Amino acid sequence: MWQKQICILALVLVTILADRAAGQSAGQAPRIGLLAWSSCEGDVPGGGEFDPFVRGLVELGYKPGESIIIECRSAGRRYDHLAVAAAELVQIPVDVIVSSSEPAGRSAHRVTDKVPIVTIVSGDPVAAGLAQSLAKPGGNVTGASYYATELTAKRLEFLQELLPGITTVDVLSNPDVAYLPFENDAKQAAGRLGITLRIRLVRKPEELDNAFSTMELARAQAVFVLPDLMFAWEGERIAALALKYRVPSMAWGTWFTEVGCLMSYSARYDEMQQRLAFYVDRILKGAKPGDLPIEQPTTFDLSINLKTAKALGVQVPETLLLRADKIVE
Amino acid sequence: MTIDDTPVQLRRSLFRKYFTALFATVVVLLVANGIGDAWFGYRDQRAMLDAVLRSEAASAAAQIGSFLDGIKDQLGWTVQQAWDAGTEGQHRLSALGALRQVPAIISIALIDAAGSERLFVSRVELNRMASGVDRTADPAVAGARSVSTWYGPVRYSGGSEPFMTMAVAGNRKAAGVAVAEINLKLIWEVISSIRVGQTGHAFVLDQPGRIIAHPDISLVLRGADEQISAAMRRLRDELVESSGRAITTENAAGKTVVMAMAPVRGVDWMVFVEQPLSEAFAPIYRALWRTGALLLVGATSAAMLAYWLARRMTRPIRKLEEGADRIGSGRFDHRIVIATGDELEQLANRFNRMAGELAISQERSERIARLKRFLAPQVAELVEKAGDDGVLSGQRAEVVVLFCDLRGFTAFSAHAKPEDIIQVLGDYYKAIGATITKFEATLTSFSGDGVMVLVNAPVPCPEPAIRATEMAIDMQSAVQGLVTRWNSRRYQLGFGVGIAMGPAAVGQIGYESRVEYTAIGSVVNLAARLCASAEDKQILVDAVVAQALGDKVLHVALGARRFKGYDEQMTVYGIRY
Repeated sequence: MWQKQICILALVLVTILADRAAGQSAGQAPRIGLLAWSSCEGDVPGGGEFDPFVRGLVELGYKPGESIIIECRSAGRRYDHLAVAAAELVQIPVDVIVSSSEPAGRSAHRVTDKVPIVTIVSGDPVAAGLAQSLAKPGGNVTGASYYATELTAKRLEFLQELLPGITTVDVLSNPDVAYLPFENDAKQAAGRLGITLRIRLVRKPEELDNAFSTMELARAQAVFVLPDLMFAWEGERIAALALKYRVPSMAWGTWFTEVGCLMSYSARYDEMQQRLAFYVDRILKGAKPGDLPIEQPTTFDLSINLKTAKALGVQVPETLLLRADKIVE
Repeated sequence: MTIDDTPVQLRRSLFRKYFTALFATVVVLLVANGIGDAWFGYRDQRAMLDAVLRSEAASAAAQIGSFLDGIKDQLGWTVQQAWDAGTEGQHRLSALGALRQVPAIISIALIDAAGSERLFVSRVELNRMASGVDRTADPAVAGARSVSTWYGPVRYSGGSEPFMTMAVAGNRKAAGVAVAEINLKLIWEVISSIRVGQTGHAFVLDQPGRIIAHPDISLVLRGADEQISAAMRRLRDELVESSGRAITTENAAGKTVVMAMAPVRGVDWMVFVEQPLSEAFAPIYRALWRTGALLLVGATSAAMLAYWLARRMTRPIRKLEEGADRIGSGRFDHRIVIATGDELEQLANRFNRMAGELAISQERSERIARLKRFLAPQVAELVEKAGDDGVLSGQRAEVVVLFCDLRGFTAFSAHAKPEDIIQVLGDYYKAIGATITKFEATLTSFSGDGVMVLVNAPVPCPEPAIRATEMAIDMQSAVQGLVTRWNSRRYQLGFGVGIAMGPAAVGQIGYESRVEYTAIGSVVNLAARLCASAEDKQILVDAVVAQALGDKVLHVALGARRFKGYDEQMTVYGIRY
């Protein structure tokens, strides 16, 4: 009689222990929330957009799905959905939110000031209110800076060097990110360089066609693309349009020249995204995001597409060729 | 005499002494050896560690030095040409080339001989061509002019990024000076690739003690932290004090590490290499553990061996102890068996011999004791001294037999009180006994008041007849004294003696422990009849005794009497005393 009771008791104990063990192993793996702009597709959730980051994690020894769980929410290429996606991530909940652009980082920061956010910022995080200083951010945001704003003037200078005698530059700007200082930086730089700017506001990819045809009519000498997520994902279209309307194009990312834009001057975006993995690693090991300094870029790549240059009949000066870090032929 | 039987307290048992001696010998040697090993091993390892760390530091410093030299070399190319007219393009190309070759250079400014800035190219800022800015007062320009390669102090851009100004002057004044801004973050790649052991690493401090390169770049980007700088300066001072040997200290993260440092040539920077103490000392700890384990094993083995050996050595001694105990308590048949073939075996054999002899001696004592029952003490002693108890053995001897008893004892004992009877007998035997002892005769038996005494057996004596007769006279006088007293108490008692001499068989008769020494023969009967026939105060002797007495003792013939058991009448003589 009592043997039966012992058996039942043993069974119950074993079940409880197994349940606790299972619960422990699953509950212990930290969750990383990826705030994606375009989509969450990939072998690993968000692996497409965040490929360098995931590679960085793997290099540090993490196994997605085993030692860490990666959650991803996408804004579907809509700025107003960034906040929604960020809020979803916070709800899950995740131990750290990772994003690869300043608008995403800002949206996440608006949603939470407790969950650590590791992000790429475009320029001055202090001015953007995301951190108190580069050396000691202080809040829940840290990451790497892209220098997008600082380099704006340099990009215009390169454009001027490429096309000596240029007087007017048409600028593609997305009003959805008007709060970012790119437009102002460009205007100031243009003033110093003696160039006139014409701002073309483009909100949706469909409007690009229109913008370029307008530019052609206005005899644009060059088009300067301001940093923006929508533009970033429309690289091919912009390059094709620039080629179609025979306008030299200058962008802020190397992937533009790879798909046909004439020139770009950029920090190493992939390296920075990979660096974010290091921040996530430190945070998961207990560091406070406010104590991790925001890194600034160390290397910048000047990239020139010689095929496009030839197609547009642009003679690239020797000094620029010497200076260029990547030549696409 | 009582023997003190309390066992002697074993204050220091032999077993314990042996065990301790054996164990201590082995263990002391082991421990001494182990400690020696450990000490010297530690010293050697420490020295090796020092050497390794210092060489790592030197190598790291060399790598940093090469990095800086690389930059210097590239900058050197930009001050090859003099600033003659028309050379702006070439200068521009060489400056851009330097930018291309050295990612660490953020900007280059070319200054001509007059100190005016001719060219400024930057990766981030807008370029300047022939700005004409007078940079004579710039410490970089002045420095380069004096020491051909000038390194500025480290500063933090934006409070976070470490930068340094480097200025290189051409080999002639006309070539001017190149002033470059160097992003020191690129030293990070050099530093992070430096591995010390498995988990050790290197880092670089500038003169004020700020970390300018560290595998964990966030430590660098924290900017100038006075607390950390002060701690770092302390570390540097410690290392300077130790005059180059590696020191054991706590690093910035609070971990205990072994540290060494080496200077970077050209700039006043120090490269520190650190290795966690646990890793650095791992071989030492392993060796110590090994030694400890061996010591333990050795000590245990020594203990077991010592125990076993001591047991073996003390076992014979214990056997001796037990044996002596047993023998001492009377078990003389116990034999101690020790077969070790050494002195202990000899001792055991001696003990055994002693036990055997004790057994023999005990037997003899018993026999002598038995002798004393029959013989007068003096005779017994004589026999004992002679060591011959064969006196009691059965033989044929010419003996003198004396019988005596109290006249009227039967009647007396019929109506006297038992206490009086015993009292009378007690006095009687006291008197008789004293006489027998005095004359060294042998009391063979007594029953009630009748006593039989033998002379000339078991120990022969000279003139036994005379001795017996004199003894009888002595008896009479002694007992008559008692008779007088008894008569005063109205005991009607008398005393008579009969003595006969002749051959008899003497020896012990009886069975087991109930054995008596006696004589068998007609002489005994005769003596008994003579005694029965004697009246109070009378001593009757037979013809043989009378003849033996001769003239020595007065005696008178009392005629012939017929005795039961004898066919013829015998002449009986009485002793005159």
